[in-house]
Amino acid sequence: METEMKTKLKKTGIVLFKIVVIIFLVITLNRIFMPKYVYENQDGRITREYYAQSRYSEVIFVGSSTVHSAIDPLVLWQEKGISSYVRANASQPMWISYYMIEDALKCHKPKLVCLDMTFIKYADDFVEEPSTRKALDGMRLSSSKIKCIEASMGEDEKMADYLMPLFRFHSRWKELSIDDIKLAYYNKPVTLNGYLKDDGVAPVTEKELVYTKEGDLQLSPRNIEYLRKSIELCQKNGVEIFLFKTPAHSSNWSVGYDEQIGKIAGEYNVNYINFDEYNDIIGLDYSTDTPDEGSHLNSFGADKFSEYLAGYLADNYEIKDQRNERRFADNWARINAQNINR
Amino acid sequence: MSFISIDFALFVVAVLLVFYVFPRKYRWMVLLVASYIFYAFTGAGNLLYILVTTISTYICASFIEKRTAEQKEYLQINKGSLTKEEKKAYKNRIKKKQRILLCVGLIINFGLLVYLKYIDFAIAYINLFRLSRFGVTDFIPFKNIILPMGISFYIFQSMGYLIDIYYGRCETEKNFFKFALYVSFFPQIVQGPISRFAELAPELYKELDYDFFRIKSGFYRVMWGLFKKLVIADRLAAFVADTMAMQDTYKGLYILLAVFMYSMQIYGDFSGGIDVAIGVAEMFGVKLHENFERPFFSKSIAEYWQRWHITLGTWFKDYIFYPLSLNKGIIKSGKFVREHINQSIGKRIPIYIPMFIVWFTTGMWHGSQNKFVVWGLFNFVFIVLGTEFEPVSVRIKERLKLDESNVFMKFYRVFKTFWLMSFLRIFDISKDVPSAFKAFRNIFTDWSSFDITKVYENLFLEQQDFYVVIIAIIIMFAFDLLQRKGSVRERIFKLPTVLQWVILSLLITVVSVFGYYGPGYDAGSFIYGAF
Repeated sequence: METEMKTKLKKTGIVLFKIVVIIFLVITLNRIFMPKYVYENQDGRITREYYAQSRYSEVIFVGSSTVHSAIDPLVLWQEKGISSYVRANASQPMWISYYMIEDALKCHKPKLVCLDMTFIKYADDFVEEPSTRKALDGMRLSSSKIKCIEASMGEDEKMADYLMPLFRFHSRWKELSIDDIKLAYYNKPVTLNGYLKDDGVAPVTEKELVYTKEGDLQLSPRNIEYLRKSIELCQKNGVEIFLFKTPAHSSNWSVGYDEQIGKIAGEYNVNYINFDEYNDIIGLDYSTDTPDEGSHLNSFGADKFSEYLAGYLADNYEIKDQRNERRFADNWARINAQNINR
Repeated sequence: MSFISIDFALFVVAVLLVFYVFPRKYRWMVLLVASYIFYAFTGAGNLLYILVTTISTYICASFIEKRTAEQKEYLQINKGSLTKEEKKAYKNRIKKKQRILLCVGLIINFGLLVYLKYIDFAIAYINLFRLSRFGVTDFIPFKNIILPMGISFYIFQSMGYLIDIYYGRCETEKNFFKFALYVSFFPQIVQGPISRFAELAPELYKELDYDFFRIKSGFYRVMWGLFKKLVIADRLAAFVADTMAMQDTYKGLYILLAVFMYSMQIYGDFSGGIDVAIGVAEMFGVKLHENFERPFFSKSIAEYWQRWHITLGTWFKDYIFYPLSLNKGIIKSGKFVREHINQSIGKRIPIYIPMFIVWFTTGMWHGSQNKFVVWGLFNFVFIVLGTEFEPVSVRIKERLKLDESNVFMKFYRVFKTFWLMSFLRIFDISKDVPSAFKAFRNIFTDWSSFDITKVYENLFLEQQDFYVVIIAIIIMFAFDLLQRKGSVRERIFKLPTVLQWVILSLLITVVSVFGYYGPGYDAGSFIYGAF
């Protein structure tokens, strides 16, 4: 009887060992072949690095690349003790933003979600696989991720390629370097809580910001649907939401968009601010504060905007100054040290 | 749903789960439902075609057998009262009725196949005839029918069954649904093998216990098939196609390399697909007929065709060649030639006429284009020449004292057969017959211009891919050589468990990493641009 038991245990042990080996092999292969986004395209690290910071993220900023280049959480922390994270990726459409919020709510309920509207103006089919990849490859496996993949996939893309990145990136074997193996399990933060500093300067050519007056200025039904869903999701979970448009010097915006967003915000009793209108108050100078002729802010612009935003959020939302909280203070001391060493 | 896709893998896993959860008695039903679901994925409309074949074959076969039973009963009852002549006359009447039923089945099914597959081929000829004869430029438009997946395979399989029933070689399947499974069994419906009812039916309907070993063994076979298909065949496709398309620029050794690689591609593609089919079937406890037996080690064309696409070859042999060679008309014409013209030629007629028809049909089966017909006829010509010159060849070998068992002689024959068959495949990869002849001529020109870097840079076979494919081909042939001494899988399963897992892990890793699939990774497209 005892021998039988031992044999059974041994067999079970062998099966479990095999399963562990297979899982390890699959995970390792996936990690080796996935682009690392450590030395370039660092926005691909933003989603992945969030989870280590989720329990400290009282405010999350969600949006596209304008956000991750314009909001420096360290400034918010230093100015007003706001502990935040930027969950924003290049060309991040509204539906990915929605699922970013849903995913964040599963990790740790923030006090405030700040949702950037810059990308809402694009049509439904404005989806770029590389951007979707960078936003989603780092996301933890959950129903939110699966729904987000479904919502984001292009016609020729497959769910399996997202769940098993090896299927998508296997042809990288030709360019694999020792770094791909070294960095397979690399967990050190590359971004500063989602902020990607850009020190470049490329001044605007037209000093005066004039919005477009042509074209179809109607927001797409799908974008509106996900905007509404985002607001409802936050309100259902007792999380405040603030809609804003990150400042930029781009004529691609229209007052019509502001009106439509403002109307929806009004329906839900939510604030909406287009910070383009506050350029002077913030002190933005697009001859020095942009790396790409006004589309994004550089580190100088980000410092100014983050400082202003810190004040605005502290004044208008009930966000506690956590600088005296040991847990938060230690975390931000670590982040600051990493920032200095960078 | 492609055979080589995650969807198919998930489908197989789901069917396996349901299959082994169901009581053994009803497992064939799971396979039937799964087969129809699988086929419906190719287009719901395609179900109509497979149903036509299944129903018509089932009805005709049942009536044929009913006539046989009637005959048996009648002869039994009237055992003493019938004269020999009356019995013969009765039997002939029954046979005639059965022949009509057979013809109905054959006409419905082959008619369907011919219509779907060759209607545009026929239209092209009609248009050409009307233009050249009457100057009519009002062309009949092409139908552009998309052939339902696997239609020629399941029609050939069903018609084989009907003919077997007609000749009394096997009994009919009484259960319509079981018969429907024989026609539609999903692992083999895409590209065969073409199974015989007597062989496949017991495999499909047997009641088996769950056995993990079966699944493991099938999985190894599937992975090996994927290796051949994804690592070798799909990697070579663009290179072969582009070299043939650019043969005005890339001649000589470039074309020779493409011809060699095409042989590897088609073998990897076809035999890899068959490995997947056989492996998946094995997981369900169904043993399918092997379709390839190391064809590239054949010493003659005749032998090659006994080792390549075996089930199609035996189908043509059993259902076309033998019936034709026993056909009264052909035998009579042979006799006539023997008596009036030439003894030797007369003897050959009952062999060569059916052989000619077989190769013509084989060519047509491969595709509804002239080039395939020419390809088939070249095979016929080479086999005939091989047979006719056999005595001369023997005499030369005797004079030169060449020993057939000598390793160099064996290598020479294998080498010769391989290249002969590879050259014939030029028809396959050329646009049409003139292009094929042009490619053949181009092989023998401009050898000095060959530069391997141009293959890497201009012909869609990058240097690393070239190395991978060469190593993979060596592995494939090494495996084939090992296979001569018995199943490689069985030998692997005798190794310690750890080693078995190492081999399987390696195979999975190699296929998933070096497999040529997916959209590829374009580093450029991942570089952040203006949003």
